[in-house]
Amino acid sequence: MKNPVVFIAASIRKRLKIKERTILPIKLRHRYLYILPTRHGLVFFAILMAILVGSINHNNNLGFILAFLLGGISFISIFHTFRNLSGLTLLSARATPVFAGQTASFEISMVNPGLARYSLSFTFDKKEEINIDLAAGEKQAIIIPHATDKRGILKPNILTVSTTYPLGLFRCWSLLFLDTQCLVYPRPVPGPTITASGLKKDDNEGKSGGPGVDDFAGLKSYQPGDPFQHLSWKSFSRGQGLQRKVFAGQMGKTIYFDLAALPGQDLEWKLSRICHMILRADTLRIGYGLRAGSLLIEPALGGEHKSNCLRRLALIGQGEN
Amino acid sequence: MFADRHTIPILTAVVICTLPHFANVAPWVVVVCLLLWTYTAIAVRNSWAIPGKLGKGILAGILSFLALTTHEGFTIEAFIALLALMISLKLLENQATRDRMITVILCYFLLVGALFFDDSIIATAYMIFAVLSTTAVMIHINRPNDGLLPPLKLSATLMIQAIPIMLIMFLLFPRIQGGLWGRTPVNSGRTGFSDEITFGAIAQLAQNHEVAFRVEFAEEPPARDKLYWRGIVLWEFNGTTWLRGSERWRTPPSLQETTQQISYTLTLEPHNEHWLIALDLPMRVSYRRAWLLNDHAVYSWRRISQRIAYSGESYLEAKAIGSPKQQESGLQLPEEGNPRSRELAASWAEQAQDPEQIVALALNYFREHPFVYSLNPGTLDTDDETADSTNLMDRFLFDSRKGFCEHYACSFAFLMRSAGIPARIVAGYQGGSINRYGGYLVVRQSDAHAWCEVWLPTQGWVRIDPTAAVAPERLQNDASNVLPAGEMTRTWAFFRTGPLAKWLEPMASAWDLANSLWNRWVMGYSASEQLNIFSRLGIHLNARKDLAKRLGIFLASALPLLLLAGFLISRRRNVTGDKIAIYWLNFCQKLGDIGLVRSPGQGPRDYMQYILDHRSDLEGSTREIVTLYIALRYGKHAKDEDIKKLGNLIKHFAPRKRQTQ
Repeated sequence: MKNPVVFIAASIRKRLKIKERTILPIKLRHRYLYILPTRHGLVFFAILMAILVGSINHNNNLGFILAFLLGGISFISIFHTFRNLSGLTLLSARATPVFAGQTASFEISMVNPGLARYSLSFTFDKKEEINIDLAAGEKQAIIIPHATDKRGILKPNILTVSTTYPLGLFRCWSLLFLDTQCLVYPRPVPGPTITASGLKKDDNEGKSGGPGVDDFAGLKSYQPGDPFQHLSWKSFSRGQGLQRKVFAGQMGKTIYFDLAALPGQDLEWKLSRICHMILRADTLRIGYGLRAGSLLIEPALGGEHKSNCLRRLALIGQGEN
Repeated sequence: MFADRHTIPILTAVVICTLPHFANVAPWVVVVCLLLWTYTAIAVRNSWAIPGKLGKGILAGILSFLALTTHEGFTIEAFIALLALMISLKLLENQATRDRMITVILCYFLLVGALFFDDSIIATAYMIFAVLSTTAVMIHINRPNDGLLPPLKLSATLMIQAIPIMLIMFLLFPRIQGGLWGRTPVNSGRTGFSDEITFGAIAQLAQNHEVAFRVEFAEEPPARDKLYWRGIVLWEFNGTTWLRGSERWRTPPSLQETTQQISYTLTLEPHNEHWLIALDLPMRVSYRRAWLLNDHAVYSWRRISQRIAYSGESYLEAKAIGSPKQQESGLQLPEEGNPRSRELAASWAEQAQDPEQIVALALNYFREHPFVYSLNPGTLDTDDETADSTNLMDRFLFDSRKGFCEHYACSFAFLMRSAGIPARIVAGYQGGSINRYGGYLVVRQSDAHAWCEVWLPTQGWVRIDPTAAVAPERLQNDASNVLPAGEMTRTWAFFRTGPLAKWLEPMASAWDLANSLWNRWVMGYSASEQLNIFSRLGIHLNARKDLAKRLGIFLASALPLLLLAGFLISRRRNVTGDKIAIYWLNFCQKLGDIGLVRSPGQGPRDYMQYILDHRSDLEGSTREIVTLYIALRYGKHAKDEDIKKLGNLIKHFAPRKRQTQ
């Protein structure tokens, strides 16, 4: 059976047709907050009515006292529930990139300008709820999971901030369409590595057939994003500045991943394949470049290079290149 | 597993809300509840596995069946027993938040059941305590992290805030006289009044010091030995028991002789019978659907299942004229039994000149033989197994000669009827004690009494109290004070004669006064009192016709109060923590509301520039606030008064959207 309160809440949400995204910081005030009885609240009121009708019928004044006391308590609890959420201030939201299919984690920092709050619940999808307490004046950052399914820029669903504290008879909530985003890389799909120069049989052969990564070739000046383990601490201690070791494998052979080199028509599948290849190459520390239509990224290696390539992949065809 | 931090608090709430019912439900229900609770407590302690669904289902079925069959069907007691058992059984479930909430909400429902049985001050205090703890458990379910003390505190806060609402609702909620569809009778035997008399019936009451009723006299109360409180009149003797009889005469009673009229208001505790109590001899009792019968008993159409108050007028010493039919009914006797008594009565009838003399002879018989006034007459019917129970009178009059008032009244009436004088038994109360603070008379169950009325041709029905012949001091004292020393209960003896009696008695009086006031003003508050309040305020309403108006008044007065309460509670809370940051946030949000959103990472100076670029009209206030903010935020010593000033500036900062652009 459908809970009528859930139904009312859904129709409120429909009517509001939240379109505009909210820019943080935001203080949750009256106009952002809704409050309705919960399912337990409805059961409670049914019982309250039974007590009241019984008291009227029996002219039992103690029954009246109990009914009105419970009625008063539940009524007062509306304001306690409201107060538990009202004034909460969300300061900022951010999320680190994830691969499609993984769970994105939105980190939302907030401050509680009032007295302590209890059992605040945050959720994007009603399935995974994050529950926290906030001490008076406390500043806290929480991580709220959000499911992803396709690459690109993920704008989060409506964030529901809610509480039923103290009695669980009323639920106060706020619907926030946050103006924040999460970069979602393509979903890596394993398979043979295909470079622009031709088809390699598999990854293992690429490793054994090519020059080994351990063949030291010389030093280059450090660029931010270069792998930390390749830094030359000896030259640094000699006062030659921060330099990085370059290996034969990176110098001698650079490969290009080319979207056009992959067979098939399914762009998403090709992107997923390339995504996987990039991750392989990065683990094996083989320099790689990326070609996709007009996009050309020169071969390089390192975390920043990898993120850049993945980001470009994620954004292909999204109009935000 | 049972190792759940919620189970024990919920168990506590269940125990608190079930305890008051233990007096009203069958003993096996109490035992099953206790077993279930103990099992739950031990299971939680030892982290036992939760019992299977099937077993619990079967148990629930059996218990429901038993609860219905042992409490006489769908009565309040059966319902309460069922609810208590099911809630206790629910403790054995693997509980999600939802089940926990339902269990606790049902506890409130269980609580209301107790109020139908007892509405004393103590019961009210217990109810408030139970609501306090149950609500705390409910809060604990929603805030499981901090133990039970903070929920208790919040529960108390909620209750204190709810009390004004409760009072207004209590006073103004439209009351309906007489209820909606009549009430389910409460079964539990109230000790006290009964509609038949056997030997030993009243003796049971002598130890019961519960209040039977309270009386306020319009003038000076009559002397104690004149206070005969008439309850039921018994006409029919079947050999062992005196019964009301099948006839009910509704013709108005008539008096032969009238004396001084006494007016009083009587507040009767519920006894679940149809009979109202009135001072002997009643002429008028004003209570809805209650009638004065021809034998001056007062019959109510409804059983008295709750406390009622009514006014009455009586005439002391008045005597009723009996109709011929009454004289005939007053001579009814079983065909046989008690031959010695009949013989004795016949011998009196022979030697006496007139009925008055027969009465005098009978009273003399009681006086001259060694009769003892006693609670423990011994069982009259088992000492001789061959004799059937039809010869009880004989055994009492000639052998044991020990008895309580009902023995004397019953045997006296039997003797009178055997001698040809119409007689009937009146059961009620005798005496009472004046409350030293309240000035009203309290009559307890221990004052229960039975006496006789005989019809004499010259006078009509005359009251004869054979007990007075045996123990004349009974009329000056409580029955328990007249008893032989060994028969007084120990607590009562301590109370009346112990070393603390001097202090205990006034305390008891004060407590009784408190109960009396409580009953009268709080529990007795009803539609008529409510209309009185309205008419004092100049609003004259009719109880039946103006229900809609009363509802209107109720809503019109309750709504503003509710809104005021809401406003007071949801007022902004005091800012704590980093006040400067919070003020700044408020400032940014006020500007954000009119479209001047601060982008993340925009410092206060840049933000101010951005504002001034768009809205030069805001320059004065913005510059002041931003400058002060920077000084406070980045300066070394932030003075409290400056922080306050910043708060005030931002509080009164009210930018408006530009009208036209």
